[in-house]
Amino acid sequence: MTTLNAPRPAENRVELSMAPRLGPLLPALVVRLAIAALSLAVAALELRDFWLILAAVFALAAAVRPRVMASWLLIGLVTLGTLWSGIVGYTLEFALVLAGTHLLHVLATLTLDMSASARVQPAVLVRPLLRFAGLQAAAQVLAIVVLLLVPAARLPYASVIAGVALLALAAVLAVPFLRRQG
Amino acid sequence: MTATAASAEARHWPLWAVSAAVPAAVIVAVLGAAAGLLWGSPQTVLVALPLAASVALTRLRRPAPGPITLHADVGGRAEDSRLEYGIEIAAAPDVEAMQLRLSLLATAPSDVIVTRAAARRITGSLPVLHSGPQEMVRLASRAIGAGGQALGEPSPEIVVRGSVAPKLLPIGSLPLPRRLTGLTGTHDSSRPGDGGEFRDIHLFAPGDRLRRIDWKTTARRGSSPGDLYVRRSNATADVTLMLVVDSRDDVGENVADWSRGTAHGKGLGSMDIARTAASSIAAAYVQAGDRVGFQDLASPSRVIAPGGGNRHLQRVLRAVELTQPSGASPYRLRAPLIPPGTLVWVFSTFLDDETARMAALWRAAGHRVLAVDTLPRPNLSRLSRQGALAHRVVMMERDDRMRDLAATGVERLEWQDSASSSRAAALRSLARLRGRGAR
Repeated sequence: MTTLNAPRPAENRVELSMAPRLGPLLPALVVRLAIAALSLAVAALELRDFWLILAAVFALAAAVRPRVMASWLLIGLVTLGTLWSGIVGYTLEFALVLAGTHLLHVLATLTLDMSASARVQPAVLVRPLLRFAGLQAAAQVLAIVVLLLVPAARLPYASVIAGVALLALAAVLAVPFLRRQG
Repeated sequence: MTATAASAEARHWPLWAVSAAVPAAVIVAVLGAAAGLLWGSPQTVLVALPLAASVALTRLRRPAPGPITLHADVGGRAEDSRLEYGIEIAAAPDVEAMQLRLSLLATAPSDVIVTRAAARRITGSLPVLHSGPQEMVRLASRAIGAGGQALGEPSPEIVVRGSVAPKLLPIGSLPLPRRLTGLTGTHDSSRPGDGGEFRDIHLFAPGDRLRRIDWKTTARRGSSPGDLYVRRSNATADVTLMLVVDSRDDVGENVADWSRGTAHGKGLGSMDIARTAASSIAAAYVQAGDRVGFQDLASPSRVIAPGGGNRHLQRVLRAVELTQPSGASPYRLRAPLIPPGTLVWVFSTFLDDETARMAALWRAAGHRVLAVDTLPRPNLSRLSRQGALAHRVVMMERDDRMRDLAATGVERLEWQDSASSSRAAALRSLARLRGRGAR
């Protein structure tokens, strides 16, 4: 007969033994490490020297303290890095940078309000990753069209058109947000 | 082992807020677009494009306001010393995931992020570490929409509190008071009467029943024609006992956890021992036809007058089950009043003078007092040197207290021996002691 007078040896492992039955769970720490690794990989594609070290610092900060928004600093650094990276046309490096920065945004958004000790059901990642895949496919196709099919002489015009469209889109998004914040 | 089935529910309408990731992405996208525009770099614009599109998609798929219902329950029957718990969360289809902040058995809360579908019904099991009232599940949640770019307001916390009934252990020998004052029962008293064992042969006296005349003895011993001898027997009586539980503190076997008193860190607690001992003793006496009362030493209002029968036993068992440390430490000038001739069982750790003083007062009033030592065997691991020294001093003071108590005539029973045979032997010894000078 088991009684309360006979303490069980498993008592010190209480937390493990009473976790909800949710199947395998991913520690949030793993997602954070994935963000750090992805950040370094994307940065290494086009940044060098001081900028790569700075990117490594951002990657570390993104993994340790997501609330400092270091992931977006790194995305911004990589985005601006395309200005002087010397990548011309649609290359594998560019395709990887395009996908990597976007994936970094998706993962960093998910982990922004997640504590390091949290555990994540892998299925939670499915819908954001599906959305990522859809958007990324469209972005890659657009990049191929712009960088491979548009004549090089017209690229500055194309960038102006795309930039203005993007700025308009950003303004449409930012105005309601800023109004609500105000 | 059974527990009181318990549940809790909350319903709230969360306000949705935009995650800090959204403005960050917008800023990066604007910077990228502006830089690409100025330097005529389509690559820069293209890298910024998915971020802006992702944010735009979020605004299109912004979760609609809707109620979120949280429900948590804990089952009533323990299987293999574990209790099943369930969590149910109903949320609008726009909600992609739920962040649950879950604390089980008052442990530190941990976050789990699950899909909305998985959150509809989550189950698990809790180990039954302690008896008595306890917090079982504490839950709060937050809805996550659009891949974390929309966050719901955190829900109010719901707490499921339940109570676990202590296990009843068999008691073979029942110590009795020095004097049995009851009029009927299952125990032999020293009064002449009906129902008990043979007492003596005595000359017939007015009031003796004719069927008690022992004709053989009369024929053998009668010295004159009118002499008649009767066989007299002892009367039977019931016992009145009072269970006095000292619930002012609850210390576990892990001494390092004494200052924190966490449910999962303290190990077997003194209140676990007290509840098991008091319930087992109450059940054994009531089954023997005796009358049992209950008194919580920490609360003058928690008193049950002695009574018998199964319904009264359930009342006493429930009172014992619900006894928990209240933090109150009242100083009593006088010991609580107890009916004359009552056997007093005191359940305490005797870590301070108060309970020992009460026990000595009851003993001085003529009651037989049995002190059940509920202090678990100490586990000194993880204890600092200073902590070990402090524990040693406390134990030395306690030993002195127990010695003084024994000198006043209070008998002691150590319940925490895991071997039931030694406890049974101690109870047998206490049951035999009553024979000397019993009236």
